[in-house]
Amino acid sequence: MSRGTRPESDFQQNIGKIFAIFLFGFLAAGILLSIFERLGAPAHLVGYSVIAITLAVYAVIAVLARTGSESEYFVAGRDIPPVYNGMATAAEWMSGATFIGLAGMVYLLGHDGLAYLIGMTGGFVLMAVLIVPYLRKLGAYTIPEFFGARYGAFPRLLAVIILAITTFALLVAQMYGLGLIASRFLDIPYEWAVWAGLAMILLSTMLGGMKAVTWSQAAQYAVLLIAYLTPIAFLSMKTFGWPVPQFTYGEALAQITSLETGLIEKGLADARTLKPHVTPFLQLDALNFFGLVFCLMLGVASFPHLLMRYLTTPTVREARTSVAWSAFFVLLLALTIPAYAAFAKLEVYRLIDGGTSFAALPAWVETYSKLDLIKIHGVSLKMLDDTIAAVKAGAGDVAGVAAYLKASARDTAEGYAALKEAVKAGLLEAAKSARDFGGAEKWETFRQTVLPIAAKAAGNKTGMLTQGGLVLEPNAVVLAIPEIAGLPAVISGLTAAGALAAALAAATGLAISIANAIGHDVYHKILDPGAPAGRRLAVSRLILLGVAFAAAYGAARRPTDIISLVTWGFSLAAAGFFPALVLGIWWKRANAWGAAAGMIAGFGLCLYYLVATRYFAADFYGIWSHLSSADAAAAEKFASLKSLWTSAEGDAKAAAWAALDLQARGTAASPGVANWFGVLGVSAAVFAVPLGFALIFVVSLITPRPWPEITALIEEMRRPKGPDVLSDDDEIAAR
Amino acid sequence: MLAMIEIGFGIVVLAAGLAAGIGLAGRFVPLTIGMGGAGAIALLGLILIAHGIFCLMLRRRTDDRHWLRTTGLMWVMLTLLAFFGFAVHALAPLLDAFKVAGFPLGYYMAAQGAPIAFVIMLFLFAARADTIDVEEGVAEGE
Repeated sequence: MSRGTRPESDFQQNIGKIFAIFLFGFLAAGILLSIFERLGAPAHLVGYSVIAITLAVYAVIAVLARTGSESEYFVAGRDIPPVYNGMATAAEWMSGATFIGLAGMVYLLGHDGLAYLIGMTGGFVLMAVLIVPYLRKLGAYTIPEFFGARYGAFPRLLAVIILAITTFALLVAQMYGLGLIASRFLDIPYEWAVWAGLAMILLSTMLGGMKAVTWSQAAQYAVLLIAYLTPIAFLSMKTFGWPVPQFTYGEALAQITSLETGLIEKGLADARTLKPHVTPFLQLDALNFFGLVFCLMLGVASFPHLLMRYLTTPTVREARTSVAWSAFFVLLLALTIPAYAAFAKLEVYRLIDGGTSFAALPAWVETYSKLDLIKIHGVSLKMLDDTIAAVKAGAGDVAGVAAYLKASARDTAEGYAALKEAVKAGLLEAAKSARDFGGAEKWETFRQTVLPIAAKAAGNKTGMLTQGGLVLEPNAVVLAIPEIAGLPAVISGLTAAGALAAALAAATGLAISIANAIGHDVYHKILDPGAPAGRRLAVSRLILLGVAFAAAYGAARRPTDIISLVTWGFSLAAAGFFPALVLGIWWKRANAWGAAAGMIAGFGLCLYYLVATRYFAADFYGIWSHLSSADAAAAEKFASLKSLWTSAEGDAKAAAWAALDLQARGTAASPGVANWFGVLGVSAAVFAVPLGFALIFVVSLITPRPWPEITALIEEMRRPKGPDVLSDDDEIAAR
Repeated sequence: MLAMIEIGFGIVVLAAGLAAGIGLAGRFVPLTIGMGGAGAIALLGLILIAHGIFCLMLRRRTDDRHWLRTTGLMWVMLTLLAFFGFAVHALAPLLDAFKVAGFPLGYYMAAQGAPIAFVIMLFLFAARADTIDVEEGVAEGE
């Protein structure tokens, strides 16, 4: 494929026009639908229409972008303009989990949650400066291909394995998110939603490969940007009379700060548990704040599904510009994320500050309590619903309800187990009396009988909502804003369409990155080097099918645990790829032995720290207690819990183990006693990346220097001039 | 020689950071900087060592002006990244004393200042790297 100047196709000349028409059409459809809603069209029908329109657009793009060319399938023919590639990257960056969850993290952690924002945007700088231009000049089809060309077959295989492990877990998590969003908004069973999502992913990837993925992602970016900005702009307009939330939420922050003091004075909040929103290093200490920033930066800079986006630009120059555009489009979203957190917090604090009794709870509390996304003193309307289901299934006492919840794998089982006995009894009582009630009466029962019991058990004597009592789950922040602001259904539908777009964009990118790595690097380069282009493409598509099916199967089994593992991906990618990528470009002396040692040890250490501190925390502390940051009191508590567990019998043993495990493992924001120097599991790359660098350095120096061919390849990679190092020979031969 | 001095200095800084981290430094200096501060000092030491080693490696190939200038640009960008990604936020408790349109300045730098700075840095980097390529005669499409 030639680089530099090249005649542009009709499509490329007109892409600006096409995109403008798409945007205009989408906005016009939105306005039309909101007029229909005013005229009395049913709300859910309007919501469905928004989603259906966007899905139809992606399907059309997928069909139009179908291809039989290997270069188009793997790297979109290397003719994606930098701006659109930037949009596609931003869509991939804004995964479903980010769309729904990141604002919630800022809501939950306040200033400390911004570590996610800094790290996930800063990664683009590392990527552009250290990696992307050279990767593009190499002219690889996949990221493992860099390892193959620079280091040889074994590091290539290692790269494929590391890529498969990290990416597959992320893919399952995206499909899980896809299923949750679709089932909630379209009101279809979760499993159906997952399989429907699979169909959409396959349509977007199999026909047109990277070319189709790129153009659908650009369209998905537009949808998710509009969906993310619109509700919060309305809320900003309503609250401050100015529809630019990115500016107005400064005022919201000031009000939150004064409300925080007010709540404590009124006795509606506890000064010991209320963490001021804007004060730094309260929830994450400075070490973990910066550790998280470090790991997220390096993770973003070494995620193969993000890096491979820049292989689609025509030149090295445009690859660099494209990273800048990616960061720009990410910025539009990133500036809005903390605004969501601030507005949600302001609304919640205002509600509490107004002295809201349980009888006067607004409707949106009901909506989200019914989904278990809002809990008041630990109970939600969903728990009442599930308890009623248990009673109907024959459960007569509290233990029976708990067993039923566990056996039928309800999401509420864990929350229910944490309730005090009096509250469980109250729920059961209420469930027996409300078993045949409709929605409104059930909510009455919940407010009048269950909530006072729960409040009393929690020591809340005010009879009103308190700051400590009302818990909004992080995932509810973005989803609830349209309802909190009292916006029409077309906006809720828009939020759903945006969340679906985000999850689809990430899922297609992840699926194709893993399938291409296996299809190109394992099948073509290792197993069957002589395969003709047609068969290679067919095999790649087949592998894509297998990967997507496996991920959908995994997601359909509701792996609730894997969601907490999404953040692991950053550290794992950083530990596995970053040192070998960077030194491979910037240090000629780095060789295959060094790279292999660094990748295995770095990735291994990272995985060990993550898994051991999460699942084997007590044993981990047993081995590494001398490196733990735990103070004497925490260590003593652990020891006493341990002796309690050793002596306990029967049911008590499991409970004692839970307490012991929690003391060892800690929470998402603060590590338990099982740690090295107080570093959270999420930030495992803090140890693993330096180890990777050190090992590549030492092992490379004690083994022979790379062949002169490799040195020449590196020099060529560093110089933008000239053809791609690995030219797409087969493509040229095929013409 | 300069590079050797830098590596030596980096090792001292790294050792100081680690000493502060495990609580040794408190016995000699009456100043508590916390784990974050210790980590930052250790990181600075690591960067110094890495840069020193890098300069040593590079010395053999001083004839490649394009690569030397590209490397220089790389270090400028990484320094800026360290400033906007880490240093500024370590000062957040101090910056919060100032208010900008309702935002405490430390919070503003984390929520908007740093991401905006990254985007500006990236466009400047792309432009500067192009200039270097053209001036050294290795730009594409000529």
